[in-house]
Amino acid sequence: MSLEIKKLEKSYQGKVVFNEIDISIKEKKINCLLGVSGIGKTTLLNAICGLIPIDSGDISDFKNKSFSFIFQEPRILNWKTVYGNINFVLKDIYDKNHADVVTKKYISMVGLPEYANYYPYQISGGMQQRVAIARAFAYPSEILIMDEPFKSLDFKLKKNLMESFINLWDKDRRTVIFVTHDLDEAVCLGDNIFVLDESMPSFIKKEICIILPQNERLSDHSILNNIKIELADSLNI
Amino acid sequence: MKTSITKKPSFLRYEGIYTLISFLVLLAAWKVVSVIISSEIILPSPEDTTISMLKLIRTKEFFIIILSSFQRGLLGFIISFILGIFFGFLSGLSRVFRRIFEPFLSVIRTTPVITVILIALIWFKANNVPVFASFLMAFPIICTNVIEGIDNVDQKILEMAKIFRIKKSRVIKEIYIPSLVPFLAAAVSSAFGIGWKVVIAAEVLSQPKYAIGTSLQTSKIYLNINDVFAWTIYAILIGYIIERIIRFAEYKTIKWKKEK
Repeated sequence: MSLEIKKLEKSYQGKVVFNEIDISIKEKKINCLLGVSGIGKTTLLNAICGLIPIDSGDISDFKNKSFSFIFQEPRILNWKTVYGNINFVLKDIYDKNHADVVTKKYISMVGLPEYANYYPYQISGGMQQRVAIARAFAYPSEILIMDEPFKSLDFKLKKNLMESFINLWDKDRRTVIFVTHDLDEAVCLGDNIFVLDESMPSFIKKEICIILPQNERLSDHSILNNIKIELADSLNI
Repeated sequence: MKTSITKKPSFLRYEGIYTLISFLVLLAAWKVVSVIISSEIILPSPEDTTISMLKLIRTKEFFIIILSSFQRGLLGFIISFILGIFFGFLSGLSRVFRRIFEPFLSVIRTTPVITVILIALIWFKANNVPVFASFLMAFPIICTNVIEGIDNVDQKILEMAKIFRIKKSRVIKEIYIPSLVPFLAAAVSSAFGIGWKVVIAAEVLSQPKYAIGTSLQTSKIYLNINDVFAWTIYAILIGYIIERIIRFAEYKTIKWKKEK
């Protein structure tokens, strides 16, 4: 099963970003869009979740879908605690008790139970991003969109967060669209990797499928080296 | 990390010693200058002023005077607070309204205080002149801060709320209002401070029966400079106490904000 983006055309600030692009997003998989910065990856995501209109094409498969989002920055509310931030997105859809149960569950799943009543300024940036990840999974969306959520984190923290992410994802297997410019992130997390060309307008230059389960990749990614070389070639790096 | 949680804000921490030093320096300087000048009519000594303060507090009108002035300040403040938030929200959310409203705000902001008081003397009764003057001084401060607060609501947070399909009413309650609170808190303390000073200035000219301003003026006319100083110190004390109370309330409401 897949969700189709068909012949999508989109201009942004007078430039044609995508010209009749086709992408087939696999359901219940991690779909990775890999490409250099500034080729309109965020524009594509915004179009998919309906934040901005498209010029032409068909993305009707995404219409009426619910989305949760993990952004580059945590985008959590400074005036709410860890608990409050996750509860914030659940209050409209669940009754009070259920929202409470779900909130607590996801706080534990990202390893922050002792920090439930802490405000964002009292925890580190990495922990804040963990809250954002928990919030995205706690919200019962059909599609999870991730816009470079590990950018500007150091290596250790990145690995750490990727492990938390995989743990959560393994349990619910929802459709993920993951945008990154980082080769390692792509091969560690992606089931399908779409390489976007650096030209403007951009197009899908290559599509790679990795069958190895994610939790086996993080421990040893030597097997992935060939894939990495292949991807690096197509990215011209 | 843990220490920052238990750390109290500066005004609650034991820093009284510095305040004491600065107070003593001021007192010493005052004493020295008053000895040099040695004229009670130009600059009374700290002791004489203290004696006047003690005399004043024992008169039966003292608390009526203080409360009357405070009441005027509070009334002016409350009116400007309510109207400031109302017009601030309108200008913050509607471009058109802001365009039309902004010139009015500039006029109010730049009108000399004394003009406001003089006009108010013609329009209002003695008791209400200070209220009107302090309202007009505090209103633009509240209004401007509310507008600024609305402008500063994080667009990225609003986008997040949109993606997670948060209800509009909750976006107002849980995003707009909390974002506004720090701006409002800043506005409240400066609006009250300025309002309080204007109340007393207006009282000097409008002469309500019970008022700090009236007492100041009467003391001046009788060349009772000790009392002028004594009343001034009471006015400062009241302003100071109110500011502390506002700060404390601010600390209680914005506990999520990082201590600087």
